[in-house]
Amino acid sequence: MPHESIIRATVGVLLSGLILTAAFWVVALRNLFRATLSLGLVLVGVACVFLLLEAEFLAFVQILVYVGAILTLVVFAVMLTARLHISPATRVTHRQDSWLAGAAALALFGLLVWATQSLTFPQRLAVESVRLTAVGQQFITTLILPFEAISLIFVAAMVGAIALVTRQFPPSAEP
Amino acid sequence: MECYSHFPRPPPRSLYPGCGFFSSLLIARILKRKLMELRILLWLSCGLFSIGVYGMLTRRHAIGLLLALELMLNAAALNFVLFSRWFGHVQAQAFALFIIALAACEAVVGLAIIISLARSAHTVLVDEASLLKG
Repeated sequence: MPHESIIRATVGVLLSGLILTAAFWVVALRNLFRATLSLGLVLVGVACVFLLLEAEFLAFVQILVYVGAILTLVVFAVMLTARLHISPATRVTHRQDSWLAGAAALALFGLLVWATQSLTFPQRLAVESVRLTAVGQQFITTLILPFEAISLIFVAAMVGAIALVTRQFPPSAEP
Repeated sequence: MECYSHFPRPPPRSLYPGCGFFSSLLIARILKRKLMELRILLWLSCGLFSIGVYGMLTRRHAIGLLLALELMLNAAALNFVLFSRWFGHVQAQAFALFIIALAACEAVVGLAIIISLARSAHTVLVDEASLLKG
């Protein structure tokens, strides 16, 4: 059906507009709390793109892990460090020479688009979307080593985070 | 009736009413091009990554740097899922899942470091954190 690809492309354009606008807010807003909330908008938009690409499980994992866990953590961190941000010397949230960074980012975007333009792809998308059972089978056969390594990394990250944030005892012993 | 069967068949009626007007627009003609749905999402991924790079270069707040990093990781995961759908490849989705898991680890450890830095150095601006400077 030729109309289906047009509809998918139109939805892709609308979602791209939403995601890129929110991503610009993430990097440009002076208020960090608002930047965090617009990061949530980006993450939900990317989850919608995952749904468009028929990767439902990844979309729900994205919403659960990113919007549910990481965003909450970041909001906590923003509020914990907010009172350090009061003095007028720290009000400048961006570096002064940001036009240079903008030019570098634009050049990078042009380079990426130019590099991917000449790639050849199959003319139509694959007939069947990737099934979740196949992904699970990959996890316990071919990708068993990275899967176990990920769990080890999780433990290390949890222990490390707790060790970093815990106060030293006794606190009065510090100079 | 069989004598007409070698004639060219009449064009099929459009499935969507109003599609004739829609396809007369220029944007619809652009969207109709081959591989356009793939290219649009590819450009989206490139744009997301570039915006993340811009944020990494310009932000002074450490949490702002972390947010820009999340943007870049999301662009990478988006690329993995896009190619997984396009080529019908299974392991690409698994790697997108790995990216999401590693981003969670990175955010946890990064925020712990930032809070610890705010406690010890009383700043969250990366260009003022000069404890290790000789």
